[in-house]
Amino acid sequence: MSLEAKFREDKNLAFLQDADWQDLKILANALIQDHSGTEQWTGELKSTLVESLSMHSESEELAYKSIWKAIAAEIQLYGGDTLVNLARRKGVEYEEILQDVAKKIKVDFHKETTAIDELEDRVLRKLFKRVTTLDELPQIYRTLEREGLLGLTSLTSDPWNTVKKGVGLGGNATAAAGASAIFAGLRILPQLAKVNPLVSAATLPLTLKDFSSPAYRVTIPAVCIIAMMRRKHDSNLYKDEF
Amino acid sequence: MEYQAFTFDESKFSSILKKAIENQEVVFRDGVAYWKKGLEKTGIIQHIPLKPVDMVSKDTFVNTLGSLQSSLQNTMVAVQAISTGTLLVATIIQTQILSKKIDAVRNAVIQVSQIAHEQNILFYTDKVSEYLSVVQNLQLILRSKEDGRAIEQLGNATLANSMQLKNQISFFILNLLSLVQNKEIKDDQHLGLILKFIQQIMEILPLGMHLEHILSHRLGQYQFSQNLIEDSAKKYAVLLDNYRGYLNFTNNKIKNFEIKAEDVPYFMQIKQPALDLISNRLHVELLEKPAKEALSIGYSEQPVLVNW
Repeated sequence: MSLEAKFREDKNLAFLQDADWQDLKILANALIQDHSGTEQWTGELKSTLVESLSMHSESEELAYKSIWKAIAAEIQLYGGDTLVNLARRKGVEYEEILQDVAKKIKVDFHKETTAIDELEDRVLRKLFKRVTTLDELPQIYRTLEREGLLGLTSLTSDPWNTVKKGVGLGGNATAAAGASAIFAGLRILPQLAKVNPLVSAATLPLTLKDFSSPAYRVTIPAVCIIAMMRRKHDSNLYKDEF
Repeated sequence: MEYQAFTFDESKFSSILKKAIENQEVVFRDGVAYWKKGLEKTGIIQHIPLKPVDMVSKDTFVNTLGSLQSSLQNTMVAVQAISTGTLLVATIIQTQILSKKIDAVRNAVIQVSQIAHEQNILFYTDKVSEYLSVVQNLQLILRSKEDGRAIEQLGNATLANSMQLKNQISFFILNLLSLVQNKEIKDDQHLGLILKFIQQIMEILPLGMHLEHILSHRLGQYQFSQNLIEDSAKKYAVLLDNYRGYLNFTNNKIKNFEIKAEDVPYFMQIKQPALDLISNRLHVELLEKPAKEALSIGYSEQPVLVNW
């Protein structure tokens, strides 16, 4: 099944088809590699992109625009439960991903009544104290890293925060004690845990549920980027085809 | 299939005309170059001979005219700043392009008449049939090389008919669009036929309107022909705004996954022709530009000969 075929029709990601291709490129890159340039353990997005770039060698713009569904599908897959994804072959809709991220960073919202763009605003404000723009990407990543929300990258630069916030052990004495034990394994992480979250999962004493739950190291930056893309898209005149 | 189109024979342009073109002081209308309104000079600069060029027709009427427009622009290196509307119309008047289009619209009218049972719709489809005949008559009169005075009576009668029917059709199309937008046409097949009919009318109306304007001009009604094209441009803009409103509304719903494309086959059938209609901007060449290009001509002046 091609990546595009795994795309779930999702009205909250539909605007990506009209988005600025350079923003799509930022989003695709954020899914393929982290901000330090280390490749993520991505599904097929990289190969889909390489193929598209070779098919549309005359226009990078066309190459990115023509794979917007594959980019959206990759986000949906990251947002889903890995094991459940294996069975259903598709991810989850963006609304669920956004709500998961919001819960993860403890944003207050009402599932039924908080609109998507409003919730995205709250996520950005919670993380960066204001609604940011795509021009501020380096600072955004620095903040996410400092907050321990970038998975492996955070783990190497600020292990305690990453373990506490990223894996969700904060406030629990037993878990915190367990977390101390985790640090023993951290010295080998930079060598082993380059690309594959399976490696980190093997190193950390995680439950099966922790391993298969949404990949926040990817979905948190992706949600931030999508939120900023949506602001930009909405502030432009709506692109009517006719 | 190849058609013969017409372009200006630049080799026969006078030096005054060339200079006026450079300074963007010219309006071409009905084969004659006039000084634009508001300049010191007024009246006719030169009667312009046309020369035939070959053009390849496309699958559809709108695409044929679109490709004609771009090929004419390429042949007129020196006069790129000038509207191609006048050449488009020269070609339309001289060739069978319009007759074929009228046949296609007539088919759409018949199909709508067969499914419609409401008396008011049937009344208006009759009016559309009449209008198609009037457009053919406009073409016929304009093709004639008779002096304006010789065709005056026939021309004025045709013009009056055309103006009346055009207004009725504009009103009818607005009503149909309102029915479509308010989902008052329940049957998908009927909806498909109605939309096809609207699309066909939207394609032919700018031509009918422009021919009407040219006939009025040829009859010596210089100021009135200008008022006529300004009014037609406004009427068509209202229709097009409404049509685009419906098209964008439906298309955006499909794009946002609120409805599935396969559930609106009637829309998918007209999507490409509607995109062609808007992207080719024929209405701009045939209505908007001439509406803004007032020419300077005194009531005593009259072009002596139309050289089509």
